Amino acid sequence: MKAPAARWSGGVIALHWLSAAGLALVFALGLAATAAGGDAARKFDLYQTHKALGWLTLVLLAARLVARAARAAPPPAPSWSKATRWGSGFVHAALYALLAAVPLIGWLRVSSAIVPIPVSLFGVATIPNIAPIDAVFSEDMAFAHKLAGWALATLVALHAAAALKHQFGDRDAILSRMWPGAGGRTP
Amino acid sequence: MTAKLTLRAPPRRAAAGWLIATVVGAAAFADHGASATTDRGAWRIDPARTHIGFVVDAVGFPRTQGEFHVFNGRLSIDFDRPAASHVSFTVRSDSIEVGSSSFDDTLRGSNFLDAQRFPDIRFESTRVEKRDASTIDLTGDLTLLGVTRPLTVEVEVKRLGGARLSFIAHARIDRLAYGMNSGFPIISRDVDLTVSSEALAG
Repeated sequence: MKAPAARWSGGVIALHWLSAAGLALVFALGLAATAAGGDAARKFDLYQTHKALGWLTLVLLAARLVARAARAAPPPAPSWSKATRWGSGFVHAALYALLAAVPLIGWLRVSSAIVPIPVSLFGVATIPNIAPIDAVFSEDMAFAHKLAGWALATLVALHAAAALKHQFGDRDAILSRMWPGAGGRTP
Repeated sequence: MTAKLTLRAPPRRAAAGWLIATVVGAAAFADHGASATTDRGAWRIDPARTHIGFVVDAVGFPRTQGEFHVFNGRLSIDFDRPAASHVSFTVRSDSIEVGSSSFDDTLRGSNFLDAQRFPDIRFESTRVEKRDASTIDLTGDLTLLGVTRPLTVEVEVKRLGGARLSFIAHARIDRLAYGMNSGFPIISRDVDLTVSSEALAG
């Protein structure tokens, strides 16, 4: 019988960290765009960059789901209690759900805005709008986007704190499985 | 004496301002009699000191300020009868600039200036009235998005000494009147337009 993989695949690892870096940047851009005042052109550009990178996180998520499905996930650490397994499973499911929901809600907000300015991938491509103009709906989506964005940020912080706690507190090497290069590739 | 002259702005960067400058010149000098006027087409705009700017307010978004960089104009002036003067100018709608290329593209697009369908914004004067020694009211027809509506431009003029005139023209445009409805009421209906320039005699 083939032993389950001890580590995540290289593709999953690369996409995980790329997503992490992208999300940090998109989150910072979102905060900066919201806070920006005075210079309309700068605020506009911050929003456009936030929208483009935010949309690209959807592509990263899709690629990661494909990479993840291509190979069996490493099993939970043997030392984990039932509660830990359940908690880990719940947080990961919520993370995936929010990784999809936050950009999708943002896309709906942009599409239905009173002046819908489509997502532009840095002049290379323009992403079509996916909802008709509806100012009230758009404002609701803006609120939901903000709420879900903060929920995602909170879960990411929890996720990172838990990984560090398991790696360095419990010493169950859970972070090593997602750390690039550590321990080398396994079959 | 009637000195009727026609000036043609150099292509591209000269302008609306020029025409107005010359008209203003006519109004300002009318008090001093024919001797103070330049008989020939001696006013020319300083393109480096000419700006066609606009300001639009919005709710939840900073005030947007921008400029149009490509414009062209034509004027004829009757120094003895300022009311007989005439001003016309054209602004290229795709020459809009607000400091962000993607914002510019949005403003050129179909939601706002629709620059592909309506490449020009035109103003044609119908009446020139002197209000006081330093102000004239320039009334004309503004064509924006293919819709022509009357517009009055208030022009203040200042002599800077020597043969130099500074002038500032203000107008408030109700964009809804031209069918530019996008974003209203989040984006204000009023667009404040300011043309500032300096003109030189000689």
